[in-house]
Amino acid sequence: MSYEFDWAPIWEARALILAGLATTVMLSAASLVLASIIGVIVGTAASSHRLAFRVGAGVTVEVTRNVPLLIHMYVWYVALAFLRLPPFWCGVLGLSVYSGAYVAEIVRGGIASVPDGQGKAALATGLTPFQTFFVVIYPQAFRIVAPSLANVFSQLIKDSSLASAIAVMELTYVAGAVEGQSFRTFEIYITVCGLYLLLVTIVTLALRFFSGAREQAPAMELASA
Amino acid sequence: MREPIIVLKEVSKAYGATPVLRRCSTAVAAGEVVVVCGPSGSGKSTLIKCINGLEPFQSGSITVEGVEVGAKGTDLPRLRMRIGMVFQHFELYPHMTALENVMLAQVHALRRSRSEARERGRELLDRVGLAEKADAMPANLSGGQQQRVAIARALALDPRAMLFDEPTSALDPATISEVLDVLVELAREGMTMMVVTHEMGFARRVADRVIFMDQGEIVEDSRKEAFFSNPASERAKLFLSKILFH
Repeated sequence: MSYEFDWAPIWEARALILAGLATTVMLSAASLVLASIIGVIVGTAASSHRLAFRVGAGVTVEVTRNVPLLIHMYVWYVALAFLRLPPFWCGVLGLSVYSGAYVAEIVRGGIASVPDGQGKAALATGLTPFQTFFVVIYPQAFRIVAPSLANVFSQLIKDSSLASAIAVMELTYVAGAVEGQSFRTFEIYITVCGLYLLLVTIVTLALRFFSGAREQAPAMELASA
Repeated sequence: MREPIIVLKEVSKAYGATPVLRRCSTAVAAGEVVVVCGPSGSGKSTLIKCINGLEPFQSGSITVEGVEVGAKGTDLPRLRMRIGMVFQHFELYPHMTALENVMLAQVHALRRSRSEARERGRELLDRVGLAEKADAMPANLSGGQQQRVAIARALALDPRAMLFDEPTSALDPATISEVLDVLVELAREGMTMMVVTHEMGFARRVADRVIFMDQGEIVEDSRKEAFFSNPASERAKLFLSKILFH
């Protein structure tokens, strides 16, 4: 069997592919920010000394994590159709809530890995609980959990392809369209693979950079413990 | 007696059914140095952590310069700025340099400018003999050095009183004296201090008063001379005989 590659149709569809890539980037970026916010709030609640907060956070995490991502998207797109949210935002909400649960678990673990005395010391110098979290606890937790966060964020970018199922014209959706018109199946999916790989690599490297690469080895160890 | 800064009245606390503090009452006057001693688990650390509201208590009252610690509307951060605290395990922030550790609360709690905080921070590090370690990370400092930075961090808020929770218990013997020297100097300068410690030599040297606790109770609260020469209770006698001649 021989197959002749023909990249011309891909090049001709470049505007469409780039638009899809742009949508994937925006979808992922918006979800990444929102998932982080949800994750920090829920993860912090899960570390609270108040039982009600812990139970609330635990239930939220279990419920959202144990429902398939596609169903999350359908919930916003189909079940909550009366909200008339554009598909893009249904995708963002589905991805954020789902990934937020994973981020929450990581945040909870990160906070737990910071010794109790750190918070006490910060409070004892007159910092408010809010300041204590932001300047003393989160920065220490972040260094420890950065590798795990990179995993969730790269997963999130790949998961964004499921938004094609609710008619968000992101990269995977566009790939299907180009394939349907040109029948250049290998070429388009190789192209799309390359683009996803590029995106995930950029995010992983960025996170490694921000968390201080010098501590990579011990950080890995702690995160898996 | 001078005006008391810290007043405890009948403070009690329990974890579930286990009492940790039983009706503890005392007062610390401005400029006074009070050493709190007693066997492990006697509630010493819990007692001083109640004073700045790090540990809640169930009944009784604690006031710091007239402000009720346990009351609902109390601005705890504000109250804590006026009482410095030093911990057994130092608790320096590991992601910041020594100087940044001393600057942090000045900037965030006192709202000093960074340059002012830096200047005051360097001054205090110099005072505890660590001027040249300003840019060192805590992990690269010895225990004694870390504890001195922690003292500088607490002093940076210009507190009215200082609480020390076993400041030398986690140190190796060789570095204990460098921390005690700082404490002695503070005491000489007239700082109001409450020190939980097993260092009876230190207590003899600088304490005005000694509080002896056992099983959550303040068993003895007396002038240093009286406590060491003639303790009133059997429990204190026993404790002293063990700790002094061990």
